[in-house]
Order: sequence, then C-alpha cells, then structure tokens
Amino acid sequence: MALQEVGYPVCTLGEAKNRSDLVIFWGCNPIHAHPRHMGRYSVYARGFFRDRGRNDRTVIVVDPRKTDTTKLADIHIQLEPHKDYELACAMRAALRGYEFEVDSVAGVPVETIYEAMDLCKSAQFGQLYFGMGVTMSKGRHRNVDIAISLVIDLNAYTKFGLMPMRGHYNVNGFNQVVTWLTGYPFGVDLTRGYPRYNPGETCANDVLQRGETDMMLNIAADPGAHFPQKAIKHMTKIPLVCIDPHQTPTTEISNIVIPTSFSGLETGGTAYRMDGVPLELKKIIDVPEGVWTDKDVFEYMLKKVREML
Amino acid sequence: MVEIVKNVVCPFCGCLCDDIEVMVENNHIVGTKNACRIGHAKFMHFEGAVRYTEPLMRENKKDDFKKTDYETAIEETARLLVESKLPLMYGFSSIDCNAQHAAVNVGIDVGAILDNTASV
Repeated sequence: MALQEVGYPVCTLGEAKNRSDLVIFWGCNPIHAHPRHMGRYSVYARGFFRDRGRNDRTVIVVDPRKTDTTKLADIHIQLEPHKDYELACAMRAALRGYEFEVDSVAGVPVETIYEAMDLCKSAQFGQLYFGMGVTMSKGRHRNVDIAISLVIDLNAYTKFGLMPMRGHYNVNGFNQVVTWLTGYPFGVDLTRGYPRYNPGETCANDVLQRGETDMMLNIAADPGAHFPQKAIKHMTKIPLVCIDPHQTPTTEISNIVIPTSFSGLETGGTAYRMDGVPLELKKIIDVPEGVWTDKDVFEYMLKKVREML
Repeated sequence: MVEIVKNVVCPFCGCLCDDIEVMVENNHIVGTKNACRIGHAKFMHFEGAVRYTEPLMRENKKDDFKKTDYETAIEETARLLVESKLPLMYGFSSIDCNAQHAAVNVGIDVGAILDNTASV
C-alpha cells in the first residue's frame, strides 16, 4: 500500500546478488521462511562485484526476537515489538545528523542506531528486505511507508533499494494481473460497476469483519487458518466456495469444494518472483484423471456467469 | 526408470528458485535436488494432506459433503456469485497468471471485491 504513496526504489534479485554489500532484513526470518534466499541471492551468494560472498557483505537484522537469522547478523537491532515506525524515524534523524536527547529509541541504544546508519551510509549498494514483521505490526503499511522514506533518504548518500519478502510464489503476479485489468493492485471493489480501491474498507478482512459480504469465493488460500476469529465467524455464516486441491481448515467450513491441479507441478504457467521478474512454471507430471486446472475452472465459470447475467 | 527434469521453478515462496532438479518415475515425483526443505515438501507432497479429486457440495455446513461433478459445482458457484450483493473473491496467490486473468474477469463481470494475500 505504501508503495503508492511514496514510490518504490527497486532492483532485481540478480542485481542485489552482484552488487549489494549491505543487507538489512527487517521483520523477516529468511532462514526459515525463505530458506534459499540468503544463499542464492542476498547474503552468501558470490556475485560479480562481491566474489567473496558473505565476507563482502554486512548484514543487519531488525527483529524484536532472537531468531536463526539474527544469529548470522553483524548487527542485530532488537527493537521493542510494534515500535518499527519509531525506530525508522530515529534512523532517518540519525542519518541527517541530529543529536538524540534520549539514550534509547524503541528499546535500541542510540549508539547502535548511529553505528547502523554509518554502515548504511558507507555502503556502496544497500538492500532492505522487509517481511510480515513490518507489515503486520502496529502501523501496518505506514511502517513500509517510513521504511521507503528511509531508503529514499539513504539514496542521497549511496545506492539503496528495498524489496518485500513474498510468502506465496505468485503474490506479485496477482498484483500485476489485477493492476493491468482494473488499475489497482489488490482490495479492488467492483460492486459499483467501476473499480474502487480503499484499503481499510475494501480488503477481504474489512468486509468480513464488518459482516458486509454475503458470499465468498476462496481461491488457493487458507483464510480459515490465518484470518482473525471475527472474520472466520462471518465466513461460517455465508455461502463459501473453496477452490483448493487439499483439505484445509477453510474447506471444513465451505459449502462447495472445487479441487484443481497444482500449478508448477501438474500444469505450467507464469509466476512473478518477489522482485517482479516473471518466470515460466513447468509441467512435470500429469494431472490426475478427471481433475480440472484452475484456468479451466475459471473459464467455465466465466461462461456460466455470462449466461446468467 | 527415473527421469530427471532440470531447471524447474519451485512453486512455493516468492523466491521462485529456478534451478530445481526433479526426479520423476511413472508420473510420480520421487525426489528433488537443490530445493529447500519447504520446496522439497511441496514437490514430494507428503505433508499428510488429504487431496480431493472430485468436487464436493453441501447445502448446510453441518451436513456431510456429497460428491458431484465439475459442471454442477461451477454452475452453482456462478449462481451464488451472480445472486450475491457483495461477493468477495480472495486468495489468488498460489495460482498462475493465466488462471488469475480468467478469475479477475469473473470478478469484473459479477461485480466482486477482489483481494489477495498481500492485504492480510
């Protein structure tokens, strides 16, 4: 969301691999959630200008907890939970050379903040990766907003980019597709016949928690396991259709379950990597007999919908 | 006979590692190379999960599911979407772009709210 408000300095993972000598992981734990990220792209990978791999890079991890990623960090900035916004503001202030009148901000000693900002300033090419720890703590997309502002400030001294750590393999792909078709990246409301976009009003959780939606079609996700209780409670009251090959907590509260094939295993297709690079998924094995693909299901559904309207 | 498929893109996380080697025997994946543990589990499909191969339907959520065919299940879904005042379509992050294209077109035609996991 914040990307639309202040812009978005990006690069591809290939560029990060070849050039970045300073890496910040903010609110993410790639060792567990993206196990090959550090090895392939961000930290240990030997790039064209970083041929010593890890030895050529400084790693800063911002996380309120000690994780397996923080163990590998050169600096672990252990902030208090939900104080990401404060910390980013303090970092921007430190970057501009302001003196602090306190000893610590967000539970982090000011010396650590100064030290981190000195490292960032003296880097040749920095890269900030942020995860759910930033977008899901207090402040939500405003945290990303301020992180982007920090990266823009850093670009006055050196090259710096940032990238969200995408969980599912094609989160970015949907954002691209729906932006191409409606003009907005997600949370698009088409009920009035034209696209509207207002996060906080038109996102899945908003309409579910307020009990506004009267039918839900869930596609290859598991809101029954990940959404707040209040949203799930509403999901149990309305007709729910689940398009998913597996039994999940969501299928248990569904009225209709439509299983499909696995994209990338049983059907090919296109997916967008977290940096926006589209890659071709391969078909490796055949679809089990009688099972339809996602594309077949939606094309047939489109045909039926057009007949009924 | 084990056949090795090279340079497979892993459909699990946003890294989309594209150097996976997958061993296939009689249309079953029997092993992988280069994949991480999560990716390996997705390929091998041994999470103890129950896979459905036929659409299921029930009127009341407290009843048991009854097996049905794709045409009926999709037609019923289309009817629910058309009759609903404020349908919500959520998910999309684990299907490929061609399927997303078709799904978004459904959403545009019925006037739905489209949202994916990026908003959670």
